[in-house]
Amino acid sequence: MQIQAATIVECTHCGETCTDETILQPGASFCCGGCQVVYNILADGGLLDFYALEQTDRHVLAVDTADYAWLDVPKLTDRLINFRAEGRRHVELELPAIHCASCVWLLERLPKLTPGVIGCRVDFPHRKASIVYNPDQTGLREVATTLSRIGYPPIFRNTTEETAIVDRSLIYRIGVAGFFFGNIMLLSFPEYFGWGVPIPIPIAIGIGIGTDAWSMGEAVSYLILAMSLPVLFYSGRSYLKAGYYAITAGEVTIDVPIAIGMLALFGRSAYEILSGTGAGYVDSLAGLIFFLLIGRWFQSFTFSRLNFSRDHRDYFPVSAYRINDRSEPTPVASEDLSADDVILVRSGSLIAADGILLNDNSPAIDYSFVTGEADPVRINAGAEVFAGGRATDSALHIRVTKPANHSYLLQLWLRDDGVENRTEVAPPKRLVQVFTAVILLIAGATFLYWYQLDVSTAFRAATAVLIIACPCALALAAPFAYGTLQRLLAVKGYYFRGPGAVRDLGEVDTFVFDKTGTLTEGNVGEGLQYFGPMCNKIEYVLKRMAGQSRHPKSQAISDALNTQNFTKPSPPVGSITERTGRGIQLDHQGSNYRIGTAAFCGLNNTEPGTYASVAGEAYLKLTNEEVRLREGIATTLNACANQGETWLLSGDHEPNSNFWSAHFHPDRQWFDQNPFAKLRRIEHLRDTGKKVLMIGDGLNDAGALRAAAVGMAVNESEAHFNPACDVIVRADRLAELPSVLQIARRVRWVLFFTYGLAFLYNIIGLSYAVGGTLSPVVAAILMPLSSVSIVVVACLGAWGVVRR
Amino acid sequence: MQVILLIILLSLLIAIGFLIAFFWAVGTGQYDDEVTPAMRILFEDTKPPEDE
Repeated sequence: MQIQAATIVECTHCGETCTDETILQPGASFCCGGCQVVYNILADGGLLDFYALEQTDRHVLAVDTADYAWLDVPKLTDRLINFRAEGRRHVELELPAIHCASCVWLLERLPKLTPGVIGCRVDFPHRKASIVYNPDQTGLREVATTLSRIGYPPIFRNTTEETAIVDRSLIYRIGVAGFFFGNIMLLSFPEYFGWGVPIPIPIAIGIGIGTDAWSMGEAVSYLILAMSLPVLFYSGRSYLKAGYYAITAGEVTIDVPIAIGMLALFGRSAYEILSGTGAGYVDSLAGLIFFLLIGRWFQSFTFSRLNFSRDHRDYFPVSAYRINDRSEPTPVASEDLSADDVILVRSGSLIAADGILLNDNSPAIDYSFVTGEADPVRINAGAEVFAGGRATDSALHIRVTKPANHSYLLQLWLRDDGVENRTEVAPPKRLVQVFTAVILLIAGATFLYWYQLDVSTAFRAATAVLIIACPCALALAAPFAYGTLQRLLAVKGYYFRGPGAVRDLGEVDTFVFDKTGTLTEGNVGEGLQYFGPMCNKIEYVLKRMAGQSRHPKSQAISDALNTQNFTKPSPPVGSITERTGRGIQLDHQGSNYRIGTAAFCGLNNTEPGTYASVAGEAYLKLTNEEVRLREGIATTLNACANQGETWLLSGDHEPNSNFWSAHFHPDRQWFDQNPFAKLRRIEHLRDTGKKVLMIGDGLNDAGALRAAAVGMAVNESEAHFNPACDVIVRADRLAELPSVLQIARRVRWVLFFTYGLAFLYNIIGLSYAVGGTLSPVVAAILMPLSSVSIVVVACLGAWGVVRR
Repeated sequence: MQVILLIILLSLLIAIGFLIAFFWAVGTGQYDDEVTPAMRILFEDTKPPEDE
């Protein structure tokens, strides 16, 4: 291996131009050591074909060195293993880094990279891999380490997966309904064209039924009736049940008229067929149930790679190092920690359980994700520390006071706040009530009118009214309009939990913003002031140094040095030494690099601030340390203020400057809010009748996100952790919030139009029904026609609203 | 003509066989991941090292 001056060379691994220094080895060149490591792993496994695959998206596989020692403890891994047999273990690992076809290719060749791995199958949409390995040759720890070395670090959750039993009953019900719908329709065809005249033929001798009284038409209609039974009682059962429950609870939901319509259809058809007076409307019944189920399926769509209901426990660490009796640190499951255990939290790791700090050096703990506090806090020995905090500059020794599952923040999730399930959308309650009442009135009036003339006509007309008025179209409009919107808005970077969340967003009138991480990109320095010429190499080293430290000033420098050349995997610059409260330093290729206070950097007679120096010479200074709004957010805030009240809800201290008053009314700014206070603020707004949209990012907002009418979590990338919410939005797309709001509001006009159309169909159908002349053919044409056209209009309308 | 009825019943029987096959396919998870198999089929088989 040799190092030579930069020429234009492309990295064999990541494909980027090597700018600073190129590492050469026979047949390959690399921009950094990280790329070289991955290349050599693949070369050893005979997997260099990886680079021959067409790559639309070149791989930047960062080398990750997470600590997987705890995977060696059998007790901890038991729940991860799905299946065990002699020489075989099956595990399913979540690999959020999977992003293209090449990833699938590489991961499925894992057996070549790790001896002992028998097979690996990737589930791309869920970003998961099912791995089979031989426990005699390898272990879960080796598998996880290999995966993370080739750039796919697995993530482990505390919550036991309950999704093992996938609910496929809806698919089965659609299958049954569709199957019998098609067959019934086919067998009903002769009836439509008037060929149903009884042909006096004996029934097939093979079945051995009596030969005299039956006709072909009758036999077929009995068959049809028999086929409607599974459709009604298997596929349509949920509607009948829901309608029954609603009536017994004294409510009128959309399921009530649907259930009435279904029963009227079936009762009337069964009567006609069994009494031999007609052919019935069995095809309309099967079609109705089929279309309703399709609507439900359309609504149940979710983004499989996103998780909207994450528990806080998924954020907290799975394991901790226990060091009771000054022994070697042993990995244990967080849930097994008990009071008085002493745990070691390494720098950069999360605290697993609430406890008392034992360190003497007053280390800094970063609670930004759990409390919203932007700056790390220094904690003295004997003070309380909470689970979810991150050790920043030094390792922590903590005496656990509460078991991990009793931690302070858990209480946010244990509250039962009666938040309803918002995934399904139904038409407005009022509309359904009026609709049902009107239909029952019309049916009653029709019955009374005909009753004076002829009882059987009275029954025919009244049931026909109930049949034709069945609100299939009404039930389908909202799911398809909002469901289409849900899919189209995903293209804009707004991922909704379900169609119901889109509807709720359209009704929002109050906007509450979290500050850190949502409106701002952290308290970062606006810019850097240079003292001499810029040098690529120095920038590179400084960026990597600063990136290793979690101190906010280091982070700010790391962010400010964000230029295009630095998107590569970590180069080997060595480890930094951190001096608490002063700065960090590094000896690299004979030079001493320092980032920290002026004195620490060896600079005298300069104003205080954060500097970076190389060999004692000032190189740059962090300037203008003020809050910086995300790009385009200022306009977004103004647009939201025009559409409702805007509030600021921050876990941070109130700043001295009145920076925020330019964006929020002075009375609508809340600072120093802990997670519980945030929750109460939202509940208070909700109780005063506001429809609140809460926009936040961290665990500290989790309670508030749930209490709000719509909780929107801002996320830097899809693979990042986000608290439970209704909408996940990519951070760079938050500025488009006003236009998304507009869309969610405008789609109501599409709904009004489709409801109007549905009523028009009903009026046409009712005019037949009231007159007692609704023939099966008219019903068989009108009912599917109305359903299909409503679906088409709702989808096209929603599409049109987004396009505008 | 009555043979039509027999044929209808027979065809229905066969069709129910397909319905059961559909249940089996859904139940064994064949529709759970519709994306990855489409990627997998396009990968070249890796050549043994001797061929190179």
